[in-house]
Amino acid sequence: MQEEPEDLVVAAAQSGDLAAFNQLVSNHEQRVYNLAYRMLNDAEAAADATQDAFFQAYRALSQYRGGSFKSWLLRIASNICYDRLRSRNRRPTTSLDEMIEEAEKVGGADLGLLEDHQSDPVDFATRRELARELAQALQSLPDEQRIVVILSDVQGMSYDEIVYITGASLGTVKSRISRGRLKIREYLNKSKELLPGDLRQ
Amino acid sequence: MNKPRLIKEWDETEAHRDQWLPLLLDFQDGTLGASERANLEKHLKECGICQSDLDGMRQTVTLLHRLPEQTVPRSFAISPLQARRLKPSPIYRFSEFAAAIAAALLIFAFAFDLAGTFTPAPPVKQAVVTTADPTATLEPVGTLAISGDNNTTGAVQALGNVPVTPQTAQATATPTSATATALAATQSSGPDLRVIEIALVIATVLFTVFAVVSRPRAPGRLKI
Repeated sequence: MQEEPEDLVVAAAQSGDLAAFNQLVSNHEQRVYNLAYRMLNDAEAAADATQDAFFQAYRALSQYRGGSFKSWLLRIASNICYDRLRSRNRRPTTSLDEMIEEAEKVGGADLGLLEDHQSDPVDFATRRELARELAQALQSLPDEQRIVVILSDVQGMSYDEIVYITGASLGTVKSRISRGRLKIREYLNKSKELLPGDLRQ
Repeated sequence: MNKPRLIKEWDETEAHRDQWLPLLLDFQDGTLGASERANLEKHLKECGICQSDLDGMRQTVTLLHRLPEQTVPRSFAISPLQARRLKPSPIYRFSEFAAAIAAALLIFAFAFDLAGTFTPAPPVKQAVVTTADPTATLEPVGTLAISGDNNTTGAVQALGNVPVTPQTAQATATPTSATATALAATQSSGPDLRVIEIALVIATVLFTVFAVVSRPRAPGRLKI
């Protein structure tokens, strides 16, 4: 239902309509930014990567040959994130302390996390701590596991979409998702008392 | 003694997961067939590792689903000025082919050089056409482009079976002779080939320089 109008918007953008392209930016910037934010663990770097993703998409618009525009865009964004992570690894300018500090900031930005569905008043400090732990748990995953877990479990994308975005096979994607989920569980098990009641065992 | 035992246990657990994790994931997704599902449920009752892994994966998914979306810090819309800078110009598009053209020219130049095309050949004389009848058809002799060489007495160009009328025969053959005799000149035209060779090299260099100067910038380094 929503795809047909978007196809028309994409066609208009491809014929040089900047307003149409910016409509696409507006439709997808939230998702692209969130992927970059969870991958890079840094709000500023995520904004920079998001802007670059839209610049590259604009330049490569003529190469888009139909299919899911959202997946095409996220594929560009994930490649940019990989590039950033690679160059960050080559030039490790951030210390471990800074990374932890950044993960705490990211956790702090997730204060809405785990609002209890049973309207049980959850302690603010505990939620904050859990948000931090979860952000750190995500960061502890290898890049290729982190991206599939984000796409699958945070953004709710299908296996087919993830296969297209990452360029990995279906078997590899599923294996990375299950391994990633287990690693996060192991990481969080160290601080079980932070888990909300319905998840604590 | 303890360490090897732990490593062995860890290896066994990982091997067990390699076998069962794909099924656990399909089970969690609800995409497992009826018989596989029954088998797995039976296994889960007996296997602590798989039961714990399934619970762990469910917990993680629940937590990650509850992670709130971040709001974008600003709009990422592209301004008209940025769009103009990003818009690929014809030169930019051509640069994608410049490297390929340069490579092709280089291969041509190299192949011709190896084949000895650029080496001046020794002079060869060829008597090609002799006919007594000016209205007769000249034998096809290909193209004989005869330049102002010392050995040249005239220029005859016969392409295919061209009927030669008296007028054309007069125009092309020696006017005083009834016999149309075309003398092929020597094929030696060293200076011309040398010019082509130099032109090839210059074109290769120009295309290479153009390709390098106007190459598309690496992704992610674009700053506007």
